[in-house]
Amino acid sequence: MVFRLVLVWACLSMPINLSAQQTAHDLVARMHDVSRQLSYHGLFTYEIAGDQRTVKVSHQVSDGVVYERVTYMDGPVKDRLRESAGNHCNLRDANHLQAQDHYRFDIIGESRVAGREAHRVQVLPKDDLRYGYLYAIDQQTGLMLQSILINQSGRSLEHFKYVDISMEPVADSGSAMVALAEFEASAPSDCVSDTQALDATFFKWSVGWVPPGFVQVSQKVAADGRESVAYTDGVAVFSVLVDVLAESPAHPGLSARLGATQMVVLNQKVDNSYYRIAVSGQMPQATANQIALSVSAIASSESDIDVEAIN
Amino acid sequence: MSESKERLTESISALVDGEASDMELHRILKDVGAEQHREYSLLDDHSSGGKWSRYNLISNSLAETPMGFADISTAVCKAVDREETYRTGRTGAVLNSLSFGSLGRFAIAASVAMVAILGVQQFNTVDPVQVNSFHVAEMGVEDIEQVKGPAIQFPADFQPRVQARAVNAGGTIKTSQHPVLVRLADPDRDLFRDRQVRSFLSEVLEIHSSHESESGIQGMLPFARYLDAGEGVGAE
Repeated sequence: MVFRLVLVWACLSMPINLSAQQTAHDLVARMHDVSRQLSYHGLFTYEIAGDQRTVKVSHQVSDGVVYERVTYMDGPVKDRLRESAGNHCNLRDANHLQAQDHYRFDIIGESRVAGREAHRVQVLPKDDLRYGYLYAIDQQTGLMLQSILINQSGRSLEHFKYVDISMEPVADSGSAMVALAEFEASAPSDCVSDTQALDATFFKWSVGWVPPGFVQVSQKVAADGRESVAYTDGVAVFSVLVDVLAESPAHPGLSARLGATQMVVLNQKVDNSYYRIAVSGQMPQATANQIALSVSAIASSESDIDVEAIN
Repeated sequence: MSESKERLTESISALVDGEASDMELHRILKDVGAEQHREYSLLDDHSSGGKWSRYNLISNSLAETPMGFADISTAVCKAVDREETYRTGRTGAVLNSLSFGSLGRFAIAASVAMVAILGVQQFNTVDPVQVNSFHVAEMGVEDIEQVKGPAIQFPADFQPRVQARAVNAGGTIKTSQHPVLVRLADPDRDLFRDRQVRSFLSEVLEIHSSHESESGIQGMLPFARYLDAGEGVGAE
């Protein structure tokens, strides 16, 4: 009798465990779409390096356009509004992302965040090239309610958590979000609108190395000519910016960090022109260094490019 | 410790550092010869040979060089083989039979391991400006704060189930492996107050935030990061 019970339990528990692991990945994979399509407003805390801020946020989607407003509730008065036109710059395709090859996804429990029931999901990297995350994901909507970014030794670098949130659209968008005219477009830029174009010569620079699993998902040219591309592995995102300088760089290559965001800036001279290569993202410094060092100009067919590191 | 033993210990230490005089070398060789005659081994705590081994082990650990003086694993195995086997339930007998020598060996092994760990951690946290192989002007204040500053506390019900990796000495990437010709930042120049650099980094963060908002999974978090960057980068 006991043996039969054990056998039944073993048969039942195996698919449940597999299903749970799959669900953890699905929950994280859905976060992108949910965060873009859902209208919500609330209050969250954001903590880096022992400094905690309280932030009021509103995220409204209307006719495919996303209106975001962020207001700091303590410290210096800071209020920003941003308008972004849906996903037109985003070529993220979940089918091309193999996040499970590079992270381990686990549901580690249930909890309550900002008065809402949430899944606790742990996302840990399988290598030292990226960071890990602990998420609390709203059970009803799939929106991320809490995020703790942890480094390779398990130390928390950044903590983001809603303390109050409403999933309802703001009743009076005019008063809550001020006039739409006040919204600033999020970096006016031309986006590449299809995957094939990503391989074209739009971006005159080659990123020779990215951590395994990262794929390019967007690229932009700002109004001032700055080109940038972004990569994701399904969890983390990093961007590479190429800045054209009018004269020799005023400062050497540098590395900077804000919270979990690592930035590495290197200078290059190509055909007597000066460029700054900037890599930015939530990643270890060694990874950002490696990416920045691999960026090189794509030689044009008309002339050989003379590249010189001038850092 | 007698005065002669103390002087001998100092001579061994000087020899490890390459600073021993002919007289000290002669004294050490004479003592080692006498120990060989008495069949002392490298694991004997008070023998000159044992001290020579331990000092070299510590020195090599600090210098991160391969241990070339002895097969440690073989020596440890032999030492373990020499130990008596004790049964459970005879705690008193075990405690009585444990010699201070074996405890001393354990303490030395532990202390050497600690020295090695501290050494690696210090290499990992060294200011990049002082690292010759990758000279960058370090602007971030977070690298220091992440190591020495207050840690962000995990919620009581939200502890990561991470297998502890106290020291990350390995990895596929090491900064020092990249032969980058980057000019060393002028230490007299205060980059923290360099408005141009701050402005550029703020722009980098804004563009990254824009990309991340569209391609990432974290909703409003990138926007909050950028807003914080407005004054955070280089402001301290």
